[in-house]
Amino acid sequence: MKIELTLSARQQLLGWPVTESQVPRIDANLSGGCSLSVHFSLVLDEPRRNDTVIDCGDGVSLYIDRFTDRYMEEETVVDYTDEDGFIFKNSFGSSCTV
Amino acid sequence: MITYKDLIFEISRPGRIGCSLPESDVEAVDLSKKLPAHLIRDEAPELPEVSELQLVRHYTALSNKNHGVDNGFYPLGSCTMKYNPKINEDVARLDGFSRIHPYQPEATVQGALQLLHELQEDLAVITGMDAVTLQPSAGAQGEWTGLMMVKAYHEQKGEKRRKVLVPDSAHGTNPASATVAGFRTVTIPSNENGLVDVEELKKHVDDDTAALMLTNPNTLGLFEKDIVEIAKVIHEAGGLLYYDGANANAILGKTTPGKMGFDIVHLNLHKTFTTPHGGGGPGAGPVGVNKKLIPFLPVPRIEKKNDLFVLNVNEPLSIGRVKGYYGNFGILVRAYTYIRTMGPSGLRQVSESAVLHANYLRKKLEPYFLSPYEQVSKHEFVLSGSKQKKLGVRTLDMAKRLLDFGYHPPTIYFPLNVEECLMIEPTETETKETLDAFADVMIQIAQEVEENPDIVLNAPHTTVIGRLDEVKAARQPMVRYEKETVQT
Repeated sequence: MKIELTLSARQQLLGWPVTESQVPRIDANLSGGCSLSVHFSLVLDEPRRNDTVIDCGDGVSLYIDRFTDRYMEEETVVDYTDEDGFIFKNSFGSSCTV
Repeated sequence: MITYKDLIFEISRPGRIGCSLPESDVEAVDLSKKLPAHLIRDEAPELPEVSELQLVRHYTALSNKNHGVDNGFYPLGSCTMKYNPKINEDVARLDGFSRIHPYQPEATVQGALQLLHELQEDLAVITGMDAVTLQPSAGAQGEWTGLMMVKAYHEQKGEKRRKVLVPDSAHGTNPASATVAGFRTVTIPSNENGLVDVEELKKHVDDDTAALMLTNPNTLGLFEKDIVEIAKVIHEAGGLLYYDGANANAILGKTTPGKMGFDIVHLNLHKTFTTPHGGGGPGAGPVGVNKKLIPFLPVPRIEKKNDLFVLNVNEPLSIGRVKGYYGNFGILVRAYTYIRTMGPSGLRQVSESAVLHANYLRKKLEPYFLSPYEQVSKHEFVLSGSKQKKLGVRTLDMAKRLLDFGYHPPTIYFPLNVEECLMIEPTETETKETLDAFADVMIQIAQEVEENPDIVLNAPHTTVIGRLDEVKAARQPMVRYEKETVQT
């Protein structure tokens, strides 16, 4: 899996206070009931035991758990804007009904 | 062996028949003389050709793959998947109910009209409303019907109110129905206790507020204890209060929406009143209103005049007809049968047991799953899978694992304001043994998450079809079945 960070997304992540116990994570969250939607977010969170670690270069690594991995595509572009925060550019967009 | 994978078209063989029809005693018609050429097909339709036994085995096999309340626990929160008594079916099949036609003269269907009239009156008492229409065929259609009456009410007063308020825990149908009815919806956030934030509500209430739609108890299974104040806030602004009756199983016989201050109520007969949940239908969503909204009820209205039951269509302020004929009659017969079978004390016992069962199960599961709210729940409760999420296992995985034990999973990821939500509604019709067995399985799954997460992550293991790839289904949907040519 390849994750491409835009310049603004990379700069944002480089400013995060990453530690061993608080790592940058792409997290897929579901919401719904009768139908389910998936929403991606990029958060600082504890490592999980089934994480895959993606090296994005410049010392930036992103953690993805097995659940989130199911919803990611082979290549995903992550952008950042002050207005919208992190934006995931894949066929689901930042959220999609599954 | 015939399995789920063998579609009826795949076991079909040309010329095979399931019944022998007698020769037609009507003269054949030359279609080319009756219809335009482009409407006449060149080839026979590809209908399945199977023997009677194949047909019976095929559909019996299919039905065995299905899961329903009759063959397993079904704690689907907010859906009230309780047992549907078989006496309802017997009564609905009586000739006097099943072999009549809606166009028969009123004088020949007095019994059916009497049943409908009495059901209207029973539901009015149960909800604390002054009149009821039985026409809407589902909860959401009931919502839309109620909102059309809200609109008519304000317009009749010369007001063009366009705003409908809905809490963030509302059923998705609430804002959808309001939008379809032409309103603009505004979401009211819940407070830290999962209840409507009254101060926040006040900020959004003004002279453009047409109504507030509220479920009580709400979808978190919590009773909105500020309902009297909420009603006062809405009414003082000239708005109306709409009760979503999806959770009426929690208050049946104990209190009424009318006592809480609601003006309009819909009920889901397929939830609270034991008519079948039929894969999207047929349902019934009767709507009750208080006096000020009676002129706007749909027509025809079933009324009693001089000891005769009549259909009244002459109501100039009515929003009109919202359903063909008089509603889903067979479903209404079932609900009437249930109410008559249970009686007032039986209906009260329903809600008492439903609430007891939910709280019993909640207390058994709280040590293993995060319980986001401390308040005693009503007929259903929510848990959060956030503790398991930290271990890399999600609520969806645990829901799939439940299938291995023959349980239908609870509602998941709803309400939206609870992370990794599990919404569990055991209903009053289950035994303590069933509740205990389900709790044991949930506890086992919680332990598996800690000790052997792969078994949960790869679930289900025992179903006919394993873990579905819903991501692929969303990205590359194949919604067309193409029949392969069968060699004879």
